[in-house]
Formats: sequence, structure tokens, C-alpha cells
Amino acid sequence: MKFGKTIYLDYNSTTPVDPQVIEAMTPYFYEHPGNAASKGHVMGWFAEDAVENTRKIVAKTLHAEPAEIIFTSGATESINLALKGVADRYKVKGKHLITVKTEHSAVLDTCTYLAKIGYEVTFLPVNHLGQIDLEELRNAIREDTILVSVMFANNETGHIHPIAEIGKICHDCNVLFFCDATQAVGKVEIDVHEMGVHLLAFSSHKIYGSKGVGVLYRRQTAPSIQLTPLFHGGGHEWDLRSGTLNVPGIVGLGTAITIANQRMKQEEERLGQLRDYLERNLIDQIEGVEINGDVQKRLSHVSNLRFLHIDGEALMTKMGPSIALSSGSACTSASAAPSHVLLAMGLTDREAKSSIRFSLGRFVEKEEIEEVISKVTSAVQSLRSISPVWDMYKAGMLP
Amino acid sequence: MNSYNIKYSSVLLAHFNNPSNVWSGKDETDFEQIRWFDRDSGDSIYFWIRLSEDGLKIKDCFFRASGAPESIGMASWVTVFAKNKSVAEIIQSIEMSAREQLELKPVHWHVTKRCKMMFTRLIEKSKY
Repeated sequence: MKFGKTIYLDYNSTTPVDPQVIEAMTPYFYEHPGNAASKGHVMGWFAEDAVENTRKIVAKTLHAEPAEIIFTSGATESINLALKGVADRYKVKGKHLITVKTEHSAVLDTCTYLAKIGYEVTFLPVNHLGQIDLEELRNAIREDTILVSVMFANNETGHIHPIAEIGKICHDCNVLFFCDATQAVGKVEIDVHEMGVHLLAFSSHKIYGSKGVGVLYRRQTAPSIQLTPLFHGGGHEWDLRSGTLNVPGIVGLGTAITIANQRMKQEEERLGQLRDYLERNLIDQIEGVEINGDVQKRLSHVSNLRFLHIDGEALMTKMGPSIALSSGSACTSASAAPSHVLLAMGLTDREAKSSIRFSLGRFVEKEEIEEVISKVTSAVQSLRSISPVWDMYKAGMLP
Repeated sequence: MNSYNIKYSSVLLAHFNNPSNVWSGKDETDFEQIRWFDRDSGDSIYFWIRLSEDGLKIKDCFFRASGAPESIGMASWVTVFAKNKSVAEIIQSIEMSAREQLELKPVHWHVTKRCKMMFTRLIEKSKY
């Protein structure tokens, strides 16, 4: 389904809100305007019921208890609450945290902040497939380590980390395990107990819910995780996240996650077939296309491709507004910064900048993938037809 | 949407999407070639330039380029801008003209500097 004239293949950035989700949310903007914290009247009770209903759905999805679910404004806030909350609460035990170089900036920047205020953070490397070495993780854990933070699935490559194995290592070493599952919830089965996860974050807008709603799972038993809150003022969410709850957004999350659970297997299979079809055709039709990352253990809807001697930004610009994709760089400073994920996997700056992420989703149809294959192929040919670097490559002067 | 791309002006996008004066690899002998290749980013711009018979002005200018849209769009624009101008004129005005006409954002100004340097090199290497 096109959005305007654009084929949207950037579902890892955000997803369109599912019409069923919009339908569920709509009454809570006007017909049911209550504040879930208003305990004295029916409007408040109604809102509270709606919030608690979603809390139960989220808890069931994660194999957790409703009281272990905290609603926030998004994954970034959940991540901040988990990392800063644990760091402050457990600082008597130690001030060392471990994370991975390919984490989302919400984790990396928070860890960098903690490092600035006196904590020590180990940033584990990954190999060329984006995998961490579990022995290296085990060896990095020290007496004063309080938390390990590893994402469930990488947002750029789709690589899925061995969460249960990491959870076991953390359990063996008696450290807390936080998992940023923003790209995984609704796409793969998650059981926080089986996986040994103590804290887990995700957001609604990655699973066809609205922006502005996040979740932090915090284990309450064996052990009960303590957190220092980021916000004060009202004592909502068991004193851990003060602030009026976004009732329509939370209701939408309940519907979004219900649909995601119902369609998980079906969508995984369908999108996997479309993604493989896209990759196969681009690799067949264009010289010098390679897949970045681990093709065995990745989310079925994600493909990160590298186009030899093509600038990703130029490729996307060449296709104009017809296709929405994400490049391996972000032009935020004097020069476009290559993706830290791809660099951590050992790609050069140029290789990272030659990379494009295709992330498919619920509303993508095969005809659109056909159009994308055609447009990408044509754009690459056009760019190479005026490229002296491509001339040099073809003449054997460049690898 | 009026402008679908907020990073680049419509003029730059027009040059990027439909470049003017692309060098087709003709075996010409009276062209000077100036090149810039950034090994880190992979961006490169090559110009092929022919001076007028009196050597005072640029008669023809062609390019090939690869890399970011600003490099390719700028290179195409330069081939139009340079025609019938002296190299000295180009060196003097290319940066400001490019920034104004292509509505370049500061983040892309480094490409105008590169082009100015390339024409400065042309003076050094050519008979001009």
C-alpha cells in the first residue's frame, strides 16, 4: 500500500498506525477523556480499566505479570529509566556496566552519560556479522558489574542476539540483564523468564501503534529489581514514572500488540519471502551487491544491502520521493557520519555509506517490491554511468 | 509536498537528476583534466576542460562524478557555470555563486571549496 506516492520501506524507523488501532484509540480522545489517575469518578475508572487491560495484554505477551509493566513515553525513556535507574540504585554494589557497540544510540548515549558521571562502561565489540562473543561477555563481567545491556535485535541489520544465552551468563554471574527489544516485540516470541531478562524496553510505534507510548518491563520476583525514577510528581506507575498516562496511546498499544501476536507467524513468513525476493533480485540484477550482517539469525523483514561504489544517500536521492528507505549514514555534521553499527562490524566508512536498509512491514505488497527492485536497479545504473570511480573499478584500478 | 527533499534545493536536485555535460569518454586530446578523489568518502569529481583558442576562457567543460548528491549536482552545475568564463573569474566567484544558486547548506560548502581548489590546480597545470 502506497502512502501518497511513496512506497514505505522504513518500518524499523516507525510504522503507520494500523486502522484497527486508530479505531480503538479514537474514543479515548473525546468520549472517554478521563485521567487514569482520577480515582474519584467514572471517567477516571474507565480510563484506568483501559490502561490495566493493556497492561495485562503486554504482560501476557512477555510472559510477565501486569505489575511488572511500566508505561512510559517511548523506548528511549524506558531505556533511560532502566539504565540510569539501575545505575543509581545499585551503585553501592558496583559502578560497572556492559553493553555492545552496535546498540541503539538511546543505549549508547545513556551509557556514555553514565560514564561521564563516574560509572565505567565496557562496550563489547562485534564480529563482521554483528555477533558478540559470549565468552568475551562472560570475561568482561566483574565483581562490580551491575548490569549487562544487549538489544534483542539490531535496528539496522536485523541481527538477533542469543538473548537466552546472554540471560544465562548474567544469571550465572549474578548481574542484571536489560534488553532493548524495540525491534523484536511483536515480531518474535519473547519470554522474559525463559530468557533470563530482568528489564526490557520497547515502544508502540514500531508495532503499528502510535508514537508517544513505551513500555519498561521490570522483574518483580527472583529478584525484584529496584529502580530510581527519572521523574517525580504524582507517583504514577508505582512511583517509577510520574506523569499522566497517555491513555489513547496505551489503548492503541493494547490493540497493536494483540494484532501483532495474532499475525506474528503469518507476517514473519510473508515478509521473509518478500525480503528474500527483494534481495535475490537486487543481487542478481545489480553487480556488486552484498548483504550486511548475519543472514541466518535476523528479523525476517529487514535487509541491509551494500552497493559497491554507490553512495547510499545519492541512491536514495536518485529515487526521489517514490521510495522511503534508510541509508547507512546520517548527515548530522560537516560530513555524513557512517553508521556506527556497520563500522563496528568492520565495514569501512565508504562501505557503510554505500549501504541501505530496507525494512518491510504489514502494508507492503509484492507489486511494490517489484517496483523497488526496478527503481533501485535503474538508479544504481544511472549513478554508475557517470561515475569515474566505477570506471576505475571496471578498469581493474580499484577493488 | 512542494519540495520533497529538504536537504537539497530544486536547482541542485535538477543537476543531480539530469546532469549536464557528462563526459562520455571521447578520445579528445585538447582537454585538460582535473580530478578530485576523496579516499575516505569515495566522492570524486573529474572535469575535462577545453580553453578557447586565445587561452583566455573556458570553451567546454565536462564532468564525471560519484558520491553524495551534492558532489554530483555541484559538478554538473560547474560545467554550466564555467563556460565562457576565465579561470580567474571562476576561482573568484565559484564558492559564493554555488552557495547562492544551488542554495547549499553550510554542511555542503566543502564541495564548493573542493571545486575552487580544482580550478586553482588547473592554473598550475595548464598552459593558461
